Amino acid sequence: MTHVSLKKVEKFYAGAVKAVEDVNIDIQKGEFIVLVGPSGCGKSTTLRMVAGLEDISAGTIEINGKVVNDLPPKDRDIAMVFQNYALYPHMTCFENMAFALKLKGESKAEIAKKVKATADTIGILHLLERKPGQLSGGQRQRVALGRAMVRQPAVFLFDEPLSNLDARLRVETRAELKRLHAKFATTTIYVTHDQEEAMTLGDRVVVMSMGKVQQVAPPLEIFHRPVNRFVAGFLGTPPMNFVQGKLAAGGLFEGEGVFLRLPEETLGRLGEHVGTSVVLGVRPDHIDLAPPVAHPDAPTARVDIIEPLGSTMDLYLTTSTGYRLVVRAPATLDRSAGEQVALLFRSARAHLFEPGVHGANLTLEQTAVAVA
Amino acid sequence: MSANPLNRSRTLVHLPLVLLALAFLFPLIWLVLTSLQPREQVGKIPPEWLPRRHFIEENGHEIFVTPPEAVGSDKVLVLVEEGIDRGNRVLIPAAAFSDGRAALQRQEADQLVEERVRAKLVQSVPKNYVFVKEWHLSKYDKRPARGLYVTPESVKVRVEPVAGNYGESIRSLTAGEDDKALGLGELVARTSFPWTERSSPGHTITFITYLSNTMLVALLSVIGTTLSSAWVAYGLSRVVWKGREALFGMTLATMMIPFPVLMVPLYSVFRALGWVGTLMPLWVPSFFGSAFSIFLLRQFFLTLPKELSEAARIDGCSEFQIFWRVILPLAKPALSVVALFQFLFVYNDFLGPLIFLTEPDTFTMALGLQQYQSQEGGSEWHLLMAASCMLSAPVIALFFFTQRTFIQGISTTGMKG
Repeated sequence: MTHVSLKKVEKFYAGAVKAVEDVNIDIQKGEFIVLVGPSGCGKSTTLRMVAGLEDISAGTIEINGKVVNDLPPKDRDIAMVFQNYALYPHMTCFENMAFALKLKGESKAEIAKKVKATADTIGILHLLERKPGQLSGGQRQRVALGRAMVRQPAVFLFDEPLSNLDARLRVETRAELKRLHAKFATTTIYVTHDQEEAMTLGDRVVVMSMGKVQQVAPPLEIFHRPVNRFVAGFLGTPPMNFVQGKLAAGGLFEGEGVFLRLPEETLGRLGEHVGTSVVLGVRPDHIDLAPPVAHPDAPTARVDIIEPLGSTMDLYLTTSTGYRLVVRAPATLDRSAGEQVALLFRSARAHLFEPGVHGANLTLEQTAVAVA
Repeated sequence: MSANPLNRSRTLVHLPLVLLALAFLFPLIWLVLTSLQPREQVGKIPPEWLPRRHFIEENGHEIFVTPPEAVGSDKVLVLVEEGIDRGNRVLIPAAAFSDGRAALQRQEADQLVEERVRAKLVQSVPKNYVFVKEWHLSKYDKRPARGLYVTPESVKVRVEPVAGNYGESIRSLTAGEDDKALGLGELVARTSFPWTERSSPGHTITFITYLSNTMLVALLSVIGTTLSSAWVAYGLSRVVWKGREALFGMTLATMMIPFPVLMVPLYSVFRALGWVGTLMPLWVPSFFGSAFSIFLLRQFFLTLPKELSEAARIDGCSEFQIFWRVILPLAKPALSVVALFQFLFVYNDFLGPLIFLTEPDTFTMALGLQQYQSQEGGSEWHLLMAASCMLSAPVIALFFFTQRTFIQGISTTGMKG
């Protein structure tokens, strides 16, 4: 059980490009933490700094209370799984898994015992004599995982380990990872760009953008209470609808042919922003559709495309100003392309953001932790 | 084969390719055929391709002879019985022999003297007769070679390779003693290996001496180049440090300096070190890497994902262990290309040995072959070609065995073959 702590960690390259800026994350013992964000957001760099593959430009990283800034990777008691697996092609799977133990000078019998035990846990006993080139992507992934596990490290580091797998295998392996973590409870740092992986795997999720941590919170809190527009837009499929507009007195939002009145409790927190430009954020499943005749006061939009998804369907709409919205509705909704529909916003679930890509969420209670 | 238009167009493409390949093979074919020809056939104009041997039958035995020479006019072969030429067989015009006397012409001082001497007719040689000489494979064969005047019909020709050229070429490289044929056992016994102490003057230097010199130099410089270049290339491709690119550029720049420019300075350096006349100038430099090999290996190392090194580092490898245990085993194809190129270079190198080697017992094969060209006045082309064939054979065989690795290595490094 290991406690990992990142304090004011920064990474900058020559030319003063800041790849990672002021990252503070306190990872609890046995926690599964997921760093998520678009490519280039600094999540991999952060992980590599923990691994010791990148120098730390400023700040400190502690593993179990010990500053590891200047320790080489092998002395940090970590193991890492790479996106391309990075298995040694000239060694058999057994040799791949045994390599680190061999370098540590463990006895042959001890190595064989450990490798076999680990291979058994993840079901690759039958692959041990093969070379990585003879394995499928999923099998290689397992061997890479086994190579990390066999060392029984204090911290597991995963760098997008599932992104080279096909969709089905990815879901299976994801579940497997979760099971293994539940069993061994090793502190884990997991980097992905896939929000679904982040949501399903993480005890807590760290959303990063442009080198900065945007929010650190359990998955559902991130989903329901995003601190800013970036976090809100990054998580959720289809992504949240954002509408540029103005907040008028009385809590009436208006913009792009869309208007809605915000509930009293939200309004209380918006005081100073009344009369300014804001961005409305509504998730696709928080908009209900109805025939315009039934709701003459509601804003309307035209249905462009319908994507049936089985139990639900996504409708792509255009408002009167030509602005596009996505709505997720039950599959039972009887609508067809070209029709006009009334938009019924669940205003209690709507968010208002300050303008800008990273505009803060104005509708959150002040107690919410906004890190950035 | 079939009427399939695709097949036909493929044939059309392959036809010129095959023809072109034959054009490139031409020197090799010539080499092999020449090495199997009798000495007299080499360099004939117009050239003859297939090795042909002339022979006559005598008492039911075949006797190989030299190509027939026309006699031209009616002549007689006489045995002179008096005067200076007593006991000699002489061929004179038929008209110059009558009544048991032959008119012999002889150059004496500045004038031509003719005297009539007693002589016995041995054989009359009509003008359609030809002259042939018994054919000896080896110039060391000191048995008297008979000259014969025979009818053209009795000289038969057969296409038959002279495989004996090969043995002869080895034998004739055995210099040092008076032109004396050596048996193979003797040959081996007299071999002086370069790592043994220098033999006394007048010892025998053999084909095997040359061969072992070549192999020793090739082996050492292959090991040297492969190891040192891989080490340098690793530093230039998989370790990040300041000035790396500049140093790589400089390394490449050394490739642009032609060898003739370096010859004199190198000679001075090696002379100052006291290495001239030893094999050291030929292999020691290879332990300091070669720009071409460094370049080739660097390109290969760049193709290996950096995660491999990182995984190894996390597994606990030092930089050297990453190089030795992860990168080198993966670079086998590229390493074999480097090794093969280096081997070929050393094996074929003539200029280096020519400059730095002074003692025949340190000569390499390439230099040793030179002897065929100056020995005994004329060049022994057939023997030179036979030795060249033997010299090329191991390399060609090596290429066939390593072809796959070789091509793989070249294609993965992005080098053209």
